Amino acid sequence: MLTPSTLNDTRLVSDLYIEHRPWLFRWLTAKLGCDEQACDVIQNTFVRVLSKPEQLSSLHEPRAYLTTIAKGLVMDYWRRQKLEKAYLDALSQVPEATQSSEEHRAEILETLYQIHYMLEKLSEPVRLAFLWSQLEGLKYQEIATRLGVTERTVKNYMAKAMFECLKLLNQAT
Amino acid sequence: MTVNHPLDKPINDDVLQEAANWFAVVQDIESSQESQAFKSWLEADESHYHAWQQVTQLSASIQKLQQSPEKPAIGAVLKSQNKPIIGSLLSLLVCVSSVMAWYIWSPSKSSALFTNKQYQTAVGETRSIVLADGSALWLNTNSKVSVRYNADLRQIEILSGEVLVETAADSQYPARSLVVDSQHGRLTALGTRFTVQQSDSHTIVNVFDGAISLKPKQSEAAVVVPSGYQGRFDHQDAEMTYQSADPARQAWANGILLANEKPLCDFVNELNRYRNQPIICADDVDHFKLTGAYPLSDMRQILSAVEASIPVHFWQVNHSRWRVDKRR
Repeated sequence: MLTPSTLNDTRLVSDLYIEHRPWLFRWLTAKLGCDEQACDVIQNTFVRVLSKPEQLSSLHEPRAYLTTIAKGLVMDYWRRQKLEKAYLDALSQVPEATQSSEEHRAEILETLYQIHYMLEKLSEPVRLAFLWSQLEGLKYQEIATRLGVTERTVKNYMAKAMFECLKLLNQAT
Repeated sequence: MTVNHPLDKPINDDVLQEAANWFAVVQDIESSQESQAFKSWLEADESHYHAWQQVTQLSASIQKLQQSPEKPAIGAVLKSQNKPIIGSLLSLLVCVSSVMAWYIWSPSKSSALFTNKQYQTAVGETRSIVLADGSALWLNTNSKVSVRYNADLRQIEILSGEVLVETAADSQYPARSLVVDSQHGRLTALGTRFTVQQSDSHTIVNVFDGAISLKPKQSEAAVVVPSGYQGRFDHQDAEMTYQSADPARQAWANGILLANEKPLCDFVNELNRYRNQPIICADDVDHFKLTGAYPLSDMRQILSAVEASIPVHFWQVNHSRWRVDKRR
């Protein structure tokens, strides 16, 4: 629904785009070493900008703002690359005959990326507890034994892990 | 993995913390009070529902990976962290603990609670059975189950029809899980009282006390259904439906067919499960609704009671068929 304020925002964003795209493109190409990736990131940067109209009207430092967003996206991109490589390395241990289909592979990779991002910030025992429960299907008793803690502690770990994941999910948009 | 935001704003941190706490509880639910408390929380506010949806979507997406042949690779990547020294110390701890754990937890093989039996009811018959561990099992009309208790598991397999189960705590140590298997998947009992009804396309569960965990045959994702709710699953998917567990679904164990504003033809379909000669319901009487408790032991009385409350009549067309039509 186009209200007068949304029209204004769109105009502001397109002004931003026209003015800042050139240097952003050069900067990103240098960082990523690839035109196509640079284009993708620029697209996503401006999509992000559009999704936060309240920032636009009070924007004093457009360069800094755009750089921050773009940097975040570049980090995402690198993180994905690194993860995919680690995954493929680990996968080389798995016999090829039993592996999933192509599309299933893409789904796995996507889930992997999301989860890894969420779990990265957790401490080791919290992450392990969560994965042992969800990925391996272990019960709390078993996890408690493995970690040398009480079941109550395992429960706290589970809650902590899930809370961190939920926070990220709700902050993403 | 996309997340729905039907609320235009993100959910606030307090609610997320509560949802996370419930997630931790529900993985390993201990009592029916806990399950009641969870239900109360879920219903207290719309944001609670939405937070819980996020929890289930997230845990399902990970649990789905349990069956991938790539699981070891996935696990390796997810568990890895940037502090290799701590990592190897931890894995050493794990090795030692696992060995010790095996000594502590190896099950006693001299348990007396073994069963391997089949039970069956004819059309119109309901039957109640007490199992070796004190659990109670009711079979509804035209149902068949196989009960297998062994050293590791208490298993009830529903071959056809509908059962009501009230679980008892296992007197064996360590306690065995109680599971109900339908053709569509496995249900693990985390509490006490629930019904399972298997049809060709899916299995429906009504939970009255405690909680159960549903796992379809072709999926690794498990869904928990707490008391007061229904769940359904087919070979591939399980879901907790946000419908209340229907008290009518356990009334049959007491020999009663319950109706609460039930359309006549639905009532007749239900009644037909208890009859060898089905009643055909005419279209022009479907709008009538029935409310009441009807005694399954006396079919004639049920039909009279219905005829006394709405202007219809039941009549026998031929030796194998009946009809219900508008009374003229």
